[in-house]
Amino acid sequence: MPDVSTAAQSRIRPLGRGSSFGGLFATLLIHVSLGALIYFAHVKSPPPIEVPRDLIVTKLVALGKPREKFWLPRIVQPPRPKAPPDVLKLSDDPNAPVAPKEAPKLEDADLSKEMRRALKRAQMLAHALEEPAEGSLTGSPLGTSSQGVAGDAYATLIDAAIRSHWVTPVGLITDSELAGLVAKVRISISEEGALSNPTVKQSSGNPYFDDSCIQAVKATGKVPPPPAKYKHLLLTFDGSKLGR
Amino acid sequence: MKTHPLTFGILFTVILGTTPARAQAPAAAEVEDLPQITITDPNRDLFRLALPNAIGDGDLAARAAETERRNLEVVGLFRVLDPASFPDSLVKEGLGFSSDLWTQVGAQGVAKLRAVHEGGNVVLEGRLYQVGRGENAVLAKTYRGSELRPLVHQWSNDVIQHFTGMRGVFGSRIAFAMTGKSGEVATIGMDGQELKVVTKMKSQCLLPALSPSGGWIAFNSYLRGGADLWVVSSSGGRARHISERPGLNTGPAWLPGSTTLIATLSFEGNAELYKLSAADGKILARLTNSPGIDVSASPSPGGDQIAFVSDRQGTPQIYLMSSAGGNARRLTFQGNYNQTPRFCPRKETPLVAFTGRDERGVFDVFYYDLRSGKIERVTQGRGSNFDPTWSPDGRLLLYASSRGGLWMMNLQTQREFQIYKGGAKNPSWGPPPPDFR
Repeated sequence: MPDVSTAAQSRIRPLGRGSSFGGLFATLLIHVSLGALIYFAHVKSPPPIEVPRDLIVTKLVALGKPREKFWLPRIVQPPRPKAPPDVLKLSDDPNAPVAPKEAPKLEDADLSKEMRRALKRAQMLAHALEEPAEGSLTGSPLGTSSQGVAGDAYATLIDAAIRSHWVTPVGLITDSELAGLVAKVRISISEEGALSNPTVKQSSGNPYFDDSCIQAVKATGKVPPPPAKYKHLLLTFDGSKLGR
Repeated sequence: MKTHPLTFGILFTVILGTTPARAQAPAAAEVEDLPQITITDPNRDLFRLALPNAIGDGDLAARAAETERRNLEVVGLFRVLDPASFPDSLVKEGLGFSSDLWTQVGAQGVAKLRAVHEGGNVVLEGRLYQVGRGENAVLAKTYRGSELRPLVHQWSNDVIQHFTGMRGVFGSRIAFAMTGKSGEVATIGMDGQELKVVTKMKSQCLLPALSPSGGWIAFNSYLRGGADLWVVSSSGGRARHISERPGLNTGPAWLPGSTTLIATLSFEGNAELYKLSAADGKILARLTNSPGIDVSASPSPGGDQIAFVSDRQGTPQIYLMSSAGGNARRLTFQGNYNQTPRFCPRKETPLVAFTGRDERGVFDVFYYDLRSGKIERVTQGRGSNFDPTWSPDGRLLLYASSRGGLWMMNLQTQREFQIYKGGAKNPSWGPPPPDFR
């Protein structure tokens, strides 16, 4: 087996004079080149961008007199349109009868489709407005009531008091049955607020529902003293849960 | 008290009555002139029933009151008031009734009992009063018999009939497989009383099914190593072996009004449903022929249809077929593990209760409405509940639970009671008592 260390040593030549000069020159050339590169990269970099700014010089001065309105900018408004000749003028008699302008009729042959639709809608609205003066339980879709009625607060109080005692038996009346049950019960209220004589004036048709209404009044027993007008009341017990 | 945020739960109208009520006016006109208030959104609760202590012969009266209380509580229709809250004046009232006094304790109805021994028999008098219906009893009954409990059950059924129009089913019994140390078949009253162990197999018994007459119980037992079919008298005694074919002999169900059983047998290779004679186990017909396993049959009350479980489409699901077999259609498509279907015994309400496994891996009781095709959940969030069985009147569902024992729920009121606390599974509710109509 050949000696590896001996073979390696035989390939290493001793350094001669000619070879050391060439190497020194090459090393020097590389260092000079690198130095020149670094110089041009950093020392000769472009100058920083300077944003030109104008100097602002302020002087403190005393306030003078306010400028006259004539010199201030004005909003120029267009001239008001003139009133049409048939508009009631302030100088006219306000109680004088105004000659009604004849409205178009559905029967008119020259009406457009849109006009006919608008007239039909107006007729429907007119019907909706013809509701009873006292309103309905579900209210008017047009919201015609403009003010509350005295006594509402006491009615709310009675409602809350009786409703808290109104229990319908879940095992004896199903939810679907309950939704269709309404009973009217007449009650008396004493000056001290004692509820008495609950009487079914209109049965729901379900005895357990009617019983629950009577029991609710009896269980309530007493409410705060009522206003003078509340001697008797008609309570409508509605199982349809409109409030939900 | 519930209050609606928008309307405060009320719609009221007050009429200030521009015209004062006239003394001589007719009643209708007087009513119309009154200020009116409309009250909506009632509270919902059980009917509050007071059950004062029974009067009569000391211990007999006490037992009568206890049985009545238990009955009227578990049926889930009433909130039974605590007699401790009744004042002395009401306790001493006897069988009479004062509507105003009972109103004060919050009662809507009062049921009173008097139990005495008379000539070797027991005499039970019952009076039911309702607040707001005057001072006379709305129901008055007298019963005579040798034992007290059946008389109190009759009274309880009469009270339920008065309120709902349909008699109760107290007196009916439930068969179930005991779990724990004993694996025998037992029966119990629907009030959870009178436990009776009817087998002496000394091996695990499963899937008992009470016959339409209530006289027999078909069940599974592993006494001889395999799952075999047995029949035993519901009053107990020696069980009779009716099918010991190779493979499965399991899941017996009785066809209504007959002595024919429907059971799963696998002696031909695959588990299929067959009709068997309960007398000798002879095969009368093969009902299914599918590559899946067909088990857990439950015939409809008319006997013309059979609900069962099959995994023929991959997972156990509920199917419905004619009682002659064939033309099975799948009922359940929700969930991947539905089992133990049980037909409601009332023809008017075609419902099939079953056990379903939900997405959390919990078993609960559901029912499928054959009219609408919809599934309703019965139990939720209270352990695992399984093996439902209907009361003969179809108002109650009974099931086993991981909470232990047997539980009963009124489907209308959703009230649940534990009627048996011991280890139990596979309950089967028997026929109604003879006086049920």
